[in-house]
Amino acid sequence: MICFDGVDKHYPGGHEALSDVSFEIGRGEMVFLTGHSGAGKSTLLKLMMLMERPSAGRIVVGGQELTTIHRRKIPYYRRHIGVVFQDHQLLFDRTVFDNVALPLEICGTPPLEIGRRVRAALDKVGLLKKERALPIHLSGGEQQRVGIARAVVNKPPLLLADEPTGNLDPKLSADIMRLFQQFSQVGVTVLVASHDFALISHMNKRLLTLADGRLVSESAVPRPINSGGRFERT
Amino acid sequence: MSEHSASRNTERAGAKSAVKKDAQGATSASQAPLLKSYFLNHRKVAKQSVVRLFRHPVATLMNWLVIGIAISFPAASLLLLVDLDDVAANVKDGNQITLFLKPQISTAGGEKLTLSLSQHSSIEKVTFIDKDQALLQLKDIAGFDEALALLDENPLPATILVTPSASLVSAEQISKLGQELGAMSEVDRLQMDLEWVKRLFAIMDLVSRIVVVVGFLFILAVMLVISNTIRLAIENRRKEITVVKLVGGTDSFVRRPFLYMGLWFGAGGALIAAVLIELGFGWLNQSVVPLASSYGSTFRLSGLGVLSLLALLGIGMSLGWLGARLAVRRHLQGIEP
Ligand SMILES: Nc1ncnc2c1ncn2[C@@H]1O[C@H](COP(=O)(O)OP(=O)(O)OP(=O)(O)O)[C@@H](O)[C@H]1O
Ligand SMILES: [Mg+2]
Repeated sequence: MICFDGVDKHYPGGHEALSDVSFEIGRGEMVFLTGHSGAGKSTLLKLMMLMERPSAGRIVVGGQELTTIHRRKIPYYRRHIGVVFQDHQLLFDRTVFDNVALPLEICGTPPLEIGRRVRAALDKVGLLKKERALPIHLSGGEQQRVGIARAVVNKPPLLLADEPTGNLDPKLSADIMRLFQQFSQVGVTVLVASHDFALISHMNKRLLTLADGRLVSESAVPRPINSGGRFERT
Repeated sequence: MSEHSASRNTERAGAKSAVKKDAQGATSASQAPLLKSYFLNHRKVAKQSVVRLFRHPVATLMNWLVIGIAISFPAASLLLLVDLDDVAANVKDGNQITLFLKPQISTAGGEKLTLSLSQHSSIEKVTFIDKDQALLQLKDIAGFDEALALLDENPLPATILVTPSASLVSAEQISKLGQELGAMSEVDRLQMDLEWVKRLFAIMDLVSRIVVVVGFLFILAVMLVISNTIRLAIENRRKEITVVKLVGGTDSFVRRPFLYMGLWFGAGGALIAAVLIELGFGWLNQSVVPLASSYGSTFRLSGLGVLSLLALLGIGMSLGWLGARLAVRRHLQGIEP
């Protein structure tokens, strides 16, 4: 489903965000992506969303070669990917319902169907009661869950999540992870970028670890890369 | 771990085409509802962009006024020209020659001359207007009777209106007749309406050219105003555009609200222009109608009919759409997630 082959990414500033990253992820797999802050996790996901272009190497997602994709085809490519953004990317001038409905509206889904699927997605993240609220009136965690609902609402074959549980308490985090796992069980490929080691080790999934833009380890058993975390008290 | 990688490898073979297959299944299965929801989306976007305009009523009204004023100038000029063209067409039929008689010629002398002229082979009709009649006619015109009351004696000359016979068609023949009449000893001065008509047409031609040029500039201004307003709207909704593109919005989906916005700006501007024209023409008619009736004419500025109102609306909306199109082309491409 996802294939990275010798991918480099330099940002204009000259900073090397990713260097020589190669891996493959199969259909229906659930994989975690971890690494210190600034390791390049978000960059890796952005490359898959075509928000950034690689400086070198090949990326193939769902059979689509991303280096040669035509501009006009990008929207249709993106419709197959549900994304939970690190910074939510919600629209603050529309209700929760309208935010979640956006991917369906773009595809021309009939209104009745939109209503049904949006409520199903909101139900899964426990926000059914908030459908009429504006995102600005929601807590950080609630906003994050709106983002998750939007990512899953059109049942994409690939789900990318950047720190989807960053603002959630352990119980909600576990709920969301269970939701992702359910998706992977029905054939959705799931890639989750996260620092949350407790959660990752709990899930016991394949793990890709980035450090300074390099893929340093690939294992099914997570182990913390810098146990001397930044927020440790002295 | 080995279990994981094993299942991974078997799945990988079938993975490549998974996304594509899903996509094709989705599009072919739902073609007809797609068309319907395409129109539904248009209706929704059209409505939303109206709602959005009314969310900033003052700014919107300002825009409408600017566009309306700019459209009303060329539109009103055009309507005026059409009206004047009708008047000119009537005048042209006349080809009248007016002979002003010398003051010392008596009414009896004038009548005698009239009679002899009516025998002339190239003259169709002759009408004699003596000094008193001329004064009476002038008194009918609003405001003149007071001015005339100040005069001791009638300053007006007697006149003879000559209509050349229909056999005289060319300007040359008519001016030859004019020369002949002007040479008569009783005639002080003569005025040939033909020349006047020629001059009128020349002036109208000039005026319509000016109107075309200035109108074109105004229309350009309308487009630029709309384009700039849309550019600001695009700037304000940068974030929204990014998000829509991220979840798979096509270029046409992204630009649709802005094109509708341009359409509504144009339509609102056209309506304002219609109101301005109606008010302006009504006001002008207050002096045009009495003036025309003093010449025995029922002429009035006709203003907008239903057809020209629709045309105005259509032109306004096209300008709005074009302006929006301009802004969208230049500024929407640049916004990429
Ligand atoms: N738009 C950009 N321009 C220049 N440099 C960037 C840009 N985005 C990211 N970087 C740099 O690339 C590196 C990787 O960034 P990235 O956002 O991928 O990290 P991350 O692993 O997601 O970190 P975090 O866990 O804090 O979200 C960082 O050093 C960052 O400074
Ligand atoms: Mg990040």
